[in-house]
Amino acid sequence: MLQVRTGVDLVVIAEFADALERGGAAFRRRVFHPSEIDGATVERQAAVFAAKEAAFKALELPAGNWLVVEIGHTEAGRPVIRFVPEYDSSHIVNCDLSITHAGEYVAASVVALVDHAPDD
Amino acid sequence: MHPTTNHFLDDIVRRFDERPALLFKPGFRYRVWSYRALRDASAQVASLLQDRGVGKGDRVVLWGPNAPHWVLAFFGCLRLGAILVPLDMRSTADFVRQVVAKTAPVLVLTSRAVGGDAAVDLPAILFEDLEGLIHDLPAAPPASLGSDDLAEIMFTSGTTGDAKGVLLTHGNLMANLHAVQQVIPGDASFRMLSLLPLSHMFEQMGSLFAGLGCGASITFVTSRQPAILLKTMQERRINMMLLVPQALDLFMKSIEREVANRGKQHAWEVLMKLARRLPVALRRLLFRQVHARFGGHLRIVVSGGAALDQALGEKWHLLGVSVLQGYGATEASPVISCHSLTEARFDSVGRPVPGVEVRIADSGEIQVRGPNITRGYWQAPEQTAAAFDGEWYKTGDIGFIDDAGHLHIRGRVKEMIVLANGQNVFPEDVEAVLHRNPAVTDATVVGLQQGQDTQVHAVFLLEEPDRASEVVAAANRELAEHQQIRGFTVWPEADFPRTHTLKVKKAVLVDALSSGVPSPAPADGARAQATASADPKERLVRLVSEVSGLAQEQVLAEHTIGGDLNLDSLKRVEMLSIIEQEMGVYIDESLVGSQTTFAELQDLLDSQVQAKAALPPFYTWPLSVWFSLLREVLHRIVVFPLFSVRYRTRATGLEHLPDSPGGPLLFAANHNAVRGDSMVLAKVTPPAWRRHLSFAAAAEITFGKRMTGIFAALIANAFPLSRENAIRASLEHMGRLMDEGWSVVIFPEGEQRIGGPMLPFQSGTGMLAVESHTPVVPVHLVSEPQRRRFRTRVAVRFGRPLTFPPGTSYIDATRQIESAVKAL
Repeated sequence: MLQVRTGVDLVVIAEFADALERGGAAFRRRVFHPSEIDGATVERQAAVFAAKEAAFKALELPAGNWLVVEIGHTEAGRPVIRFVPEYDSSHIVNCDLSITHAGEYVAASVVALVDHAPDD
Repeated sequence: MHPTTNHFLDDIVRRFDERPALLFKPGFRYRVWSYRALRDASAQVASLLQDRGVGKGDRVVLWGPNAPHWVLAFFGCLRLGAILVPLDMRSTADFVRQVVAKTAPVLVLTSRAVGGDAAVDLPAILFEDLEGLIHDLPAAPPASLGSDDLAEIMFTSGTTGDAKGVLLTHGNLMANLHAVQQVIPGDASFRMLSLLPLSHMFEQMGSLFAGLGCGASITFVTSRQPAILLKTMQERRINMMLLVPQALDLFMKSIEREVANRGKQHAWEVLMKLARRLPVALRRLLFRQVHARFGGHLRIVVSGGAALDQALGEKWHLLGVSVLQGYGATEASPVISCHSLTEARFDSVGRPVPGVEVRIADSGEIQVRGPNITRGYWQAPEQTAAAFDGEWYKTGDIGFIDDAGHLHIRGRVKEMIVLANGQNVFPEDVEAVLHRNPAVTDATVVGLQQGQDTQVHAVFLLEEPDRASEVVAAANRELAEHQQIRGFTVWPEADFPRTHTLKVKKAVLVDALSSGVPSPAPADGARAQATASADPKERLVRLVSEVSGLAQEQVLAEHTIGGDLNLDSLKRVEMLSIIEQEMGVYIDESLVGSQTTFAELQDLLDSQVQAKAALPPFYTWPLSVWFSLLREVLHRIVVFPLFSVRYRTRATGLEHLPDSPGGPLLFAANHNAVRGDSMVLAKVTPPAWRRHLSFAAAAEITFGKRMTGIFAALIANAFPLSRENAIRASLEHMGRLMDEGWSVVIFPEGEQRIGGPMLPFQSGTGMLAVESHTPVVPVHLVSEPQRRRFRTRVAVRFGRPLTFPPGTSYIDATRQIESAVKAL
């Protein structure tokens, strides 16, 4: 059965910057693929974090395994979600990601069309 | 003596050529620049700078962390005759803009770590992009330079508006290097760790120039976390480094604290007394457990940047570490005097180095002249005139020379406390007495204005603040009448405000004391305490309290992480990252949900601490020459003949492998063809590669039982690749293997299903390929059953090696490797 799932997350950039600074290399290693943070400002990294959190909520991904998804963007600059090969994403028919910045905040929203969601 | 740094660089390449010069470990493998590679890459950097319009005499800001890229950028600029303006990486954006306004640089060489490209409105080249940018560039020829040409402008003040740019010529630098080399000759056995900022002349001359000048290897670190420093010191067998006295003091206090915690003070005192009568080799043996804390090889520490306490120097000497104290100033490029290895004393700062003349003015001020002394300050004729008496540079320090020709420093003119009655007090004299008291964590002495009078005022860091009066009373019994401490403050923060060389910022202290109560302890102070505590539970409570913002008393066993302790997903990953960084324990985040209680988190930590202690075995004996030979013999007379009965093998694509191993390769092979695929692969691999081949085997299966693990290590030179908590240990081991030239075979599917379809490659494959910066050879094994059922034909197809630039997506790299294996 097809279901629409949504997930949204709001990140306070200053709080994220503190966590990033204190968590150091271990934080970056746990949360990001290098392609997600290579050359990225703190704001951009906060946006990737929000996108991942939104994706986790919408898709019920394995908790705590941030590296299951990789946030990239199309040539036109639109953000996209990709999954690591060992994660079986066959039940996700389609999903879309949107990110917005406003002053001290960044928010991300994920809408997904899921076929036979695992919990149902 | 070399006239310029370019002559110096050519000379060290001629002498040390392919020896390792610079090492750096950004991932799990060391990257090495030989002396030749250093010179060649810096000539390419010069070419890049030329393309960006930099020419002789142009100023270039160099603002970033210590790293090989800093060094390449440094020598690249000098090759062109550009004038470097090195800045401490912790300089504020305001300070940098001030320096930029004064020096009008044409470009900034910086790093993302400091955000230098955004802070100043200048064309920027980032360290992170440097290698990619110079990749195809030709080497630029060195500019025509003489010893009088400017090499650097070093800014000495980081806080006030009167920052002075010290002019240092190529001749100044080379003269000081020549002098230092005569006092501490050094040799190619020196393995140095570069910790202090290269933007500071002490590190630049003492580590970079002096290290390269004697053929040493210089290792840089990506982080100053204690666990990473210790590991680097062990791995690189670091035997020499430059430190500020504060760091030596911190290390010694941590040793003494542990001795006290274990109740072994008496034994420690006896050993220290005994050590006085023993030669250095026996002293090192006696304190081998202490040496293990520093990697086991540290022999020489050069102390500078501030005065070394005599008692502290002696303690290190008794442990078997030679602490050489020197004295210098940026204006002297920087070394003025230094002890040699054969004449180490702690009551003086050594004799003036060859070529440097020292005189004591009538005022007691130390004045110096020589070929290493600056010609003055950048565009500041008045400040220049004020700093010189004829050709003698006025150091601003008060001191004397003893009968043996050793220089002694009494203190800074500026910090000298002048009492109302005209008597002078040197804070250093009072501080030395206070530092001898074990109750004092640290102490500094300032002159505090009290009406018309100036008071000798002590500021303390104390573990037991109540003991301050007792400490002052004890000190005053030893001090002369005019030196008596008349007031004191227990500093409420975890540490004093300090400069980048860890000197106490006394002006900030005096301002805070004059304006009332100093500010409360910041979060970093809590971190320092949390890290210092030895008990894991106590540390966890403090960490959780710090991350959650709750008081420690509010962190209770039954509290849930998400509900009671307010740790959302961001704070959870932050907390686990801090645990990983500071305690070296990896906790899988998928095991910590919002309903996990603090007690459960504590249990997880305990179990991971135990798991860490029970890592799978990483044997080193299979790597020895004798076992390599034994393995080759066993392969040829037992293993391969047996396999020939079962498998008929044929290899193609071997032309893709270089004739001889010039460096390691990562072989990625499918795991679904035949059961003994490791040995089939070994059998068809050319002997030159096979002798340097190691196989990653599942830790839980192959190394689950001791005997199978030993057997796999013997026959296949296998090592355990863990998927769970020990993954990092496995990667570290793999990195070490590759650093030693061993190629590694991995089976990226992660599990073996003979005859089934090839499983998706684990994304860790891409991570290994990208982070090991090693070419990946795709290998496809295909089995073709024969008519005689017990014999199988196996085709082994080697593909063209794939390389992945830094920053490649792990997912992309994994897919490319998987596609390449499938395509064969």
